[in-house]
Amino acid sequence: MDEAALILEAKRGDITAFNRLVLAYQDMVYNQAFRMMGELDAAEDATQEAFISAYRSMHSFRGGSFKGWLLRIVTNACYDELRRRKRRPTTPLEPLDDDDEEIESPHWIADPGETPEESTERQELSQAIQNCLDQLPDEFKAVVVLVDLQGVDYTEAASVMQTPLGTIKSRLARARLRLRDCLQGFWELLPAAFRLVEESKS
Amino acid sequence: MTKQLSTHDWEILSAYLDGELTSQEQTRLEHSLQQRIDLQQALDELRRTRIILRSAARVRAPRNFSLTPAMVGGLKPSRKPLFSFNALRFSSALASVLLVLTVIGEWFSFSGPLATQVAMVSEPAAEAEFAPPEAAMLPDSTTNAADLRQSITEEPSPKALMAPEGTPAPTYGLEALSVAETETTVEEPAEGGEPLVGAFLAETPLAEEAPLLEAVPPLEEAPAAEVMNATETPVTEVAEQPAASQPTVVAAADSGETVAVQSDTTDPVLDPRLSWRLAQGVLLALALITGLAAWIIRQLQRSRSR
Repeated sequence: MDEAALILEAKRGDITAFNRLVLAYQDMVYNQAFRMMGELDAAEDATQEAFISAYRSMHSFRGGSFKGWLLRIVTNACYDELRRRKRRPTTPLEPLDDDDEEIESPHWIADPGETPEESTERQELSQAIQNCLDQLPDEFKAVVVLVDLQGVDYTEAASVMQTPLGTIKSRLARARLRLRDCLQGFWELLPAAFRLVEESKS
Repeated sequence: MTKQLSTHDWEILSAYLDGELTSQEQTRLEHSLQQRIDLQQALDELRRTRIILRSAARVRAPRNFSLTPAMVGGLKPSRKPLFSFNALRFSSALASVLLVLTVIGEWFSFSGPLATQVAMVSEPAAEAEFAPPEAAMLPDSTTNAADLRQSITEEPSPKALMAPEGTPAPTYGLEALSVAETETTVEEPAEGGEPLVGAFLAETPLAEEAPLLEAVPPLEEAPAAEVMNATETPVTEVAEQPAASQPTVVAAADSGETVAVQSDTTDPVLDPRLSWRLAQGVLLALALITGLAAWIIRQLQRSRSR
């Protein structure tokens, strides 16, 4: 069954059809939530909440990009939670292990294909990226995560954020400028092969 | 040097990296890039930042986020709780109707003696226990006792039976309580000469009814919110009744049914009446329990849909 048919079934309340869409998009939705929230548990909650909310408002989906629609829902869910936290800030900066010790390099970043050294550097870099993202205003963070981490184009980002294209452009530029300052010095951590490939691409 | 670039410059450079410039903008920028080292440097830095960001590992969903019907229960409640709610509400209403029928049946069986006996029996202890504060103002304690007899009887209200909120059962006993309040006051115009007192006391706040509520054991579980509903219907009915110059007759005519509490004051010698009372007690309990269960189910459904 293709996506359009699944969406149609889901709009009629078919939870099985909707769950097939969940399986197809849960990594993307979770990534957006994780990069927005910067925490595993909060990302999980936001993801689950987003899917529940999406199911409940399936009737309001009027076609277009389902992916963009889901991204909008999860981004809004993250906004709500982040705003709530600003009113009552209580969250730890690092995830905790079983003994309530902070995990500096969480296991979820690990890539078994890398050497231990590369893996360590990559984890360090990933953590650095997250730390820098966390310092951005929520609206900047949402755009840069959408475009640079999710690979969404400007038009779709504008539709997700429900802002004009020019706003996306300007927020993205300012976010990148801030991240440039924050991420200075991490360039060397990128694997050489990766650097070359990426530079030749852009 | 890059610090001198305007926000617009950064926007153009950033969009250029994403291939989001118009061909005209792109040509112009490429021309500028050839002449300005600061622009080239800025573009380089942005490009590196962008590459670093794009190198960020994609995390996998740590678990399956599939929904279960329970998770979205508030949207499309399953039929089962709805059915049990209706079934409970129906059985509560049915038990109430049967209760009324048994009371009427009893009344036909023992009409004369029952009413007289009930009215004549004087029970100071029960009086003290059930009397509302206003009772002290009434000079005739026998009349007051008769009123109280009536007060713990109730008029079956068809409205209450069909109440859509599923609260008919708890309503009954409480109706009786409000009758108790009002009936006492109907007495007052005759003696105090203040016709408006009845209306005033009809609005007696809940707090004053509370002691009465606790005095009747089966009603202890009744939700407070329903007390407010219950006080409305019977008040007008009682207000329309003729002045209680003959409390006995009024009591007999108006008593639709007799609440179990009254069995305390009943002469144990009357066996057939006891069986009537037993049936009434069972029906009252059934009506209350099913009504309460229906109410709880409704509350659960509401809290889930929130």
